[in-house]
Amino acid sequence: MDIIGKILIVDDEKMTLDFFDITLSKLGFEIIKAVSGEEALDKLKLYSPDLLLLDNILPNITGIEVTQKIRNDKKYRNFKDIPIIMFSAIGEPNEKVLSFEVGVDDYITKPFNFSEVLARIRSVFRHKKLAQQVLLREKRVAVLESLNNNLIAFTKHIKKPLTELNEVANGIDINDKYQIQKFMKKFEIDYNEMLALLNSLEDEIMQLQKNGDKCKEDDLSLYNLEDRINKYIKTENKL
Amino acid sequence: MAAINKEKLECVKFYEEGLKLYREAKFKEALENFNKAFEIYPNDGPSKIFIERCKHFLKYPVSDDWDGVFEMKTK
Repeated sequence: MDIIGKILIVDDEKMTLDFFDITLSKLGFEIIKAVSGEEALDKLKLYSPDLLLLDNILPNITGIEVTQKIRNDKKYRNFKDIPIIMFSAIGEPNEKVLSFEVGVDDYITKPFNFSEVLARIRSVFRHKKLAQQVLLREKRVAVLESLNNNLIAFTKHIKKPLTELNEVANGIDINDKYQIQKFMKKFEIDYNEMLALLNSLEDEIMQLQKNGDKCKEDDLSLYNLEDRINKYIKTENKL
Repeated sequence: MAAINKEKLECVKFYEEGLKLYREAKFKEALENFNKAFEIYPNDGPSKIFIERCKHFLKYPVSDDWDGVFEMKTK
């Protein structure tokens, strides 16, 4: 089975870690485990996971503190946008509010129902993917605008040498071999130069095409994840 | 490990300098660099293309609304 995402799970209870390791691995996730906030921060850098499932109650630094470090500390700036789902046995509203304030994406109260956890994982992934897609598309629009400007400028620019070629051609005395040879030489030079310009325009269009294909690939990986989770939920409901 | 080809390094140096000057729309200076790169490696396609482009822009200067560089300019 292809890996559909890497999840870092942080909990000081071994049972929780093992439970998620087995259940989420079956769905195609790669699971990385950590038993403390410090270990979580180390493994974050080491494995670059796609999602963090984080228990709030941990020895030394709490889940909320880990979240604060990830979101604000320059040391973790490469990971500052990683989705985080917080776990806690305490269902106090104040703690939930605080968790959201420091930047967790979702919150689950223990003891949890696995289908709920899965639904939240899906929702968080969906959110992040959509945000990424919007960003990608915005970039694409900007690139298309730039291409458009280039095209307008290019068409304006290229008219001058073409008009000039035409003028020279019209002025030629067809009986004058020397004039014809001179024109042919000029034509060859101008042709090569204009072709070189066209090539660079073509390069840019091809680059755009490649970027577009990349956007589609990202869409596909999201569908793949949705598909697997839906299948799982359907079989669960039948049992 | 393969020995580093001194000529190749030299060629890349001229090419990169040419590219930098080209992007600054200094086509005369850029042309000199691309010509040197092309002299070292007469089969160097990219240098050849830039030589043609420089020559073109020297004859037909770029306008205020276009610097002659096709490049994706994202905001």
